Formats: sequence, C-alpha cells, structure tokens
Amino acid sequence: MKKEIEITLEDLENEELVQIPKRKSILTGKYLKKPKKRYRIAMITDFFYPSVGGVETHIFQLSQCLIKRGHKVIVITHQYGDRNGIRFMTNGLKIYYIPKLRAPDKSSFPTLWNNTPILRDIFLREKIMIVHGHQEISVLAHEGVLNARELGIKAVFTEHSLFGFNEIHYILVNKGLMYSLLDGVHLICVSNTTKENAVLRTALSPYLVSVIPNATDFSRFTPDPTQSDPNWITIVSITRLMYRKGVDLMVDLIPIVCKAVPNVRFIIGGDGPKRVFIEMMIEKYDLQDRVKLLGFVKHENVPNVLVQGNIFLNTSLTESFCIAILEAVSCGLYVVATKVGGVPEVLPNYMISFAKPNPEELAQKLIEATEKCKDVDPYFFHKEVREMYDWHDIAERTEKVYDDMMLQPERPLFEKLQYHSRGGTWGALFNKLIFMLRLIWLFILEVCFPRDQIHYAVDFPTDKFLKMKKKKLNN
Amino acid sequence: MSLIQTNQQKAGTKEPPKEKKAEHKRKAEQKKKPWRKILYIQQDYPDNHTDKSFLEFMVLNATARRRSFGELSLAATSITQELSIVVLFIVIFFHSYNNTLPLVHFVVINSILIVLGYLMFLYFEEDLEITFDLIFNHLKTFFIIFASVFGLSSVLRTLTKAISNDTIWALTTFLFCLHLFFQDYGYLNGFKNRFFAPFSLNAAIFGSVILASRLNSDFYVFVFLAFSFQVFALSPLLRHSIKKFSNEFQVLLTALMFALTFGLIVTINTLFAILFFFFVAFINFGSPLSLMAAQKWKLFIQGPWDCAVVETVHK
Repeated sequence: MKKEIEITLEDLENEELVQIPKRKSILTGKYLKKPKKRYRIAMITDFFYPSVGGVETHIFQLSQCLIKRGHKVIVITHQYGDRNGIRFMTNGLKIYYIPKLRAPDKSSFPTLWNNTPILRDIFLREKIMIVHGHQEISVLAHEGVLNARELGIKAVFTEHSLFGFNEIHYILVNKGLMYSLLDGVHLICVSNTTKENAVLRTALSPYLVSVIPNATDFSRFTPDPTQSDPNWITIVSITRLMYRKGVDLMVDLIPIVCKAVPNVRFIIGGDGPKRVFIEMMIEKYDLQDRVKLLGFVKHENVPNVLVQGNIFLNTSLTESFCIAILEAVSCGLYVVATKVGGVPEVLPNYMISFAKPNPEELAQKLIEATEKCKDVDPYFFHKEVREMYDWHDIAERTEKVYDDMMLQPERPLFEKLQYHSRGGTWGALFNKLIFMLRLIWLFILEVCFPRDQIHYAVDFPTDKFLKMKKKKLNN
Repeated sequence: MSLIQTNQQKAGTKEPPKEKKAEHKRKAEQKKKPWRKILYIQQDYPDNHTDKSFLEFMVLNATARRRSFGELSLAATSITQELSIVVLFIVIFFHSYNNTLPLVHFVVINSILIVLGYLMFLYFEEDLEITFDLIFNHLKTFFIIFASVFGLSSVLRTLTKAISNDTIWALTTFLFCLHLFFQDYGYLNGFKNRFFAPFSLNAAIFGSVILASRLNSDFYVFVFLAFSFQVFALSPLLRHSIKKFSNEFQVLLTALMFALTFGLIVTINTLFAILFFFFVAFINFGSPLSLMAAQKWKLFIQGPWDCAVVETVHK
C-alpha cells in the first residue's frame, strides 16, 4: 500500500534536480544524504480566495514560491457560494473547493466523519506526500491534518495567531489544536512569542516548533515622497476599528498629540463598531481639519493611503506578527506601535519605536517620532525591509521543515495509539475510542473505494509552463 | 544514481585533509553569536532552536491565593447555618402539621425569638445609631407586615385546597433546594454589605406559604408565616452582623443551630438525623478539604502574549 503514495525518482518526468550544498537535518543533526526531492504538498485551510486577508495571502505566496522551487502544490478549501469544484490559479496552482457547510466568521462546522471520504480521495488521487494546515480556527485544517496522519501522510501546521487561556472558547480551541498535533505533526509559528504561546497551549515539545516569519509583497508598497504634504506631518493608521485593535487608545491620544504639535494631522482608514467614538472625539475637540476618517479602504488602495503619511501608528492590543507595519515601512514610514505580542521582534530600533499600551506614553512617543521622521529616507527603509523578509527565503525554510518531516519514520499503529494517552483517564479512553472508530471508517472506505481503483490526477505541467513563460518574457 | 556520479565528476581536485582540519578548528573556535529574539536577521541557529531564555517572561499564578483550612471552614459555616435553619423550619412544620406543637408554645417561642433577635441585632450591628426614630421605623415595618399576614391568613389557609399533599411536599422540597442554592452567602459571610438574593427569598416565602396552607387554623397559619418571615427575611441580617462582629460567635451560633436542629430531627427519625449529620460534616469540613486538594492544579498563565488591558474603555 505504501508504494502507491511514495514517489520514486523514476516516476517523475523532467527531473532536473537542483544541486544544493549539504544541509544538516534540524531534528537529527545528521547530513541529509538524498538530493532534494520534489514534494507534493496540499495546503488545507478554510481561509482562501475569494476571501481576502493575511492568511490567504500567506498561503498563496508560499504556494507560488514552492511551485517555483519545483514542488507540486494544491490547495483544499471549502466552497464559497457557487464556487465549488476544481479551479486553477497562477502557475497551475490547483484549488479544490470541497462541499462543506460554512460557519459564521468564515470558518466551517466541525465534523468527525463527513469529510474523510473526500479528503482521502483527494490525497490519494494527487499522491500527496505532505499536508500543510493553516490557521488554528480553521476547522478544515484540523480535519485535513487528522485525516492525513491516519492515512500515513506527513503533516505540518502553521499557527498565525495568539490565543489566551482563560475563557471557554480559548480552552476549546487549545484542546482542538492539541488533539490535531498529537501524532508527530510539526508546528510552524510566525514569531517567537507565538511559539511560546503555542507550546504552552498545546503542551508540545519546543523542538517540534519552528519559527518562520511572514512577509508581504513589497513591490506593491513602494515609497512615493511626492504624495505626502510637506506642510504637515501626517500620521496614518489603517485598521479595523474594534476593541482588539486599540481604538480606545487612539481616541485618547489624538487630542494630546494635536495639542502638543501644531502641524500634525491624522488619517484613519478602516471601519468598525468603534468608529463612532472617533467621530465623537473629533467633534468634542474640534479637530475636523486635523483628523480625516476614510472609512473602509480596499486592499488595492492601501499603498496609496500609506504613501501620504510620514508616520504609521499601530495601537493593537494583541498582535502575533503584524504585517501592517511591514507594509508601512516598505512605503517609507516611521512606525510607532504598542509593545504587545510579537511586534518587538519584527523591526530594528531605527525603524520603529515602542510604547506601553496607554495613551499618554503613546502620545509621548508619537511626539518624539515627529522629530525622528524628518531624518528618515523612505527608499532606504524600503530596501532594508525588502532584504529582511522575503517569500523565497520563507519557502526555503518551510522546505527544510518538509525535509525533516519526510525523514521521520512512520510509526506502527500500536505506537500511534499511545499518543492518545493525554487528557486524563477518561479523556484518553475517549480519544482512543474515537481514533479506533475513525480507523474503522477508513477501513470501510478502503473496502468501498479501493486505492488501486482510484484514477490518479494529471499533474499540471508546471516546468514546461514556467519555461514557456520565461521564453515569452525574454522575447 | 546519476546525480552522485555527476557530483563526483564535477568535484575535480580534492582538498588536502590537513587544510580541512585546520579550517574546522578555526570555525569551532569562532564563538557562535548569542541567539536573539528577533526575526529580521538570519541567525546561525536552526528555526526550531529553543534558547535558555525560552518562556523567561512567563508568570504563573500571580494572583492566586492559597487558602487555609480554617478560612474555608469558617466561610462554610454560613452554608451550614442556612441548611440547619431550613431543616429546622421543615421540622417545625412537621410538628405543626401533626399537632404535636401546641399553638401556645409556638406563639411563646416566636415572641421570644423575635425580641431576642432584635435586641441582638441592635447590639451586634455596627454603624447603627440607636435613636428613637430608628426603632420606631423598625416597629412600624414589623407591624405592617405582621398585620397584613394576619389579615391574609384566612385566605392563605385555603389557598391550595384543591392540590394534593404530594404535590405540596415535592414542590416545597424543590423550592427550598432553590433557596439554598441561590442564597447570598457573600452577604452572610460578611464579604458584601448589601443583602441581595431576591430569587432565594421568593422561593423560601413561596415554599412557606404553600406549607402553611396545609395547617388547620387561621391563627396557626399567621404564626407560622410570621415565623417563616423571621427565619428567611430577618435572620440573614442578624447572622451577617454576628459574623462581622466576631468569628467565635459565628462558630458558636452555628454549633448551637446545628445541635438544636439535630436534636429536633432525632425526635422524628434517627436515620434522617444521621444523614443530616454527615451532610453537614461534608459541607463544613469535607468541601474545604477537597478545595485545598484541588488548589495544586491552579494554573494561571500570564506572559507577553496576553491581550493588553486598556484602562478607559469607551462604550
């Protein structure tokens, strides 16, 4: 049975394996003797195009870079309205929109049995070697990782956010993640704070957690000094206007700063439930000409808004990585942010200044920043940040994780059952029972839809396509 | 296989082994730079490196308080008191219903209790200016309530004529359980200063009214309801002031109440008395012990990943 899933060197056509220097395995410390393999990766998540956001962009960019390195990548997500079935995106990225009931807040409803047939079918027909789940609150990612481990396929999980411990929804989500990661799944976190948080929540060994940061498309965010008004020092902030993003702090600090520095003005983009408080503050202190509310800013227009500013303000109360400040620095703005979560790790001291999350200190740092931002060279900032975070580097580091996963041996069933001993006496019993029932379900599926009768999917001819693209560009 | 051959072909001349060893030594002597918790530069450590400074800012159980057995037992005495008082009330009803408690005795006990209770309340209550006005107001309230109950007593006696006994007993049990559950123990323990448990008071009064409707004469109903008013509406105030005044008196009062209730139950049924004894032992001494055993599992984690708290939240 294992033969069908393993891709041997002879099976692949057009193998132009890249010769790279020897690398040490991060888990065993030994040199990797085999040449780089072409992996067949399935990214699985609830959050993908057509919905737009940080996680969606992350998955898309990562998939594109992996495709350019020679791997085959598919994406599995749930259907969006009429959009179901198989679609293709740039460079042959195949997307499966599987039928799954969508829950509010873009995720989907959790199931134990429903999605196993279709996911098993996809994994087998595409000969998937690695399943990569994204975002903890995405139920489909958990299901994909669980099903993959039962089928013997390696799995990796990426965690993008920070979670608490106290409230009931956090407890449930943490237990869900702990269960998904039981069977030797490697976790990738986007910052060191996220790693600490994840290790505490899921009781994983820290050596099974890698830190690989995010990046963004810096070519879209280029500085344009002509756009900013030289008479004013403009402070830009583009966020959703809700409690978590620290709008209360913003409402308190704007009057202080406007009073202290006469030529400062604010541009606030974004919409949300706390917008009314900003409007009330503007009316109370008579700052109509100093504060501009733009409302909801489309993703395409964000660079246009950012280049109008000199300083970027981020008042989030919790943030695991914060891509917004990378975009701001790429446009040449100096950043003032609250010292929460993973933000202190992202940028060096000459690009950002931190403040505790109270309005007086933030106002103080903003006033100091109005002096510092005059010395800032926007093109230098853009060049620097471009070298710090690069999608190709992230793809290479993710590939190292994949290499190590593939070297791990596949444990026999009895040992896998031992992993479910967590959760106390009754919890362990319950977990083991569910595990055995799921295996029975897989066995039933194997009998009804045997492996050797599955038609393998035809791969998109990525190499030929990329070569053709290159030729066209050169011509 | 072809790849390895290609590698060897491209290798060309091999590096002499001595030079390689020297290079290795040089590299080993160059100390590795310490790991920094930043993401913007490539560090010479693998991605899953776990430094000594891992979780150095984590704080465990910063606000958790270890409670002692004495503290917990003392707090549990208010529950024991409440339980004893409810059981005592039921026992009194039992005797009234079976005509083993003569009306005269009941009236005398009631009057003594209310006078004694009021005097003790005036003594133990702090921040109380004993002026003529205050006492007059209290007496006025008493008079109004007792007069209205007296007037309604004949109506209340025939309130549940059409309902069977079993329904009454079942309903009463349920209502007094609700009363025990939702009572304001924070006030009874002196932690709060305002008695606010409308649900439990309503349940108790409801229970006592339907119990009273099973009694035989109007005057009996009045005395019984006056007794229930003292027990459920007035005694919390007294017990609160006693607890605040002195812990020793609280323990003494609890012991007295328990002894009285136990003695009265024994006159009815010894099995119930034994059950009552063990139940009180469980509540007053067993539950504190189990809470102390559970305290070692308390885990309150704080760290840099926490959502920051804003002082002034706009609503």
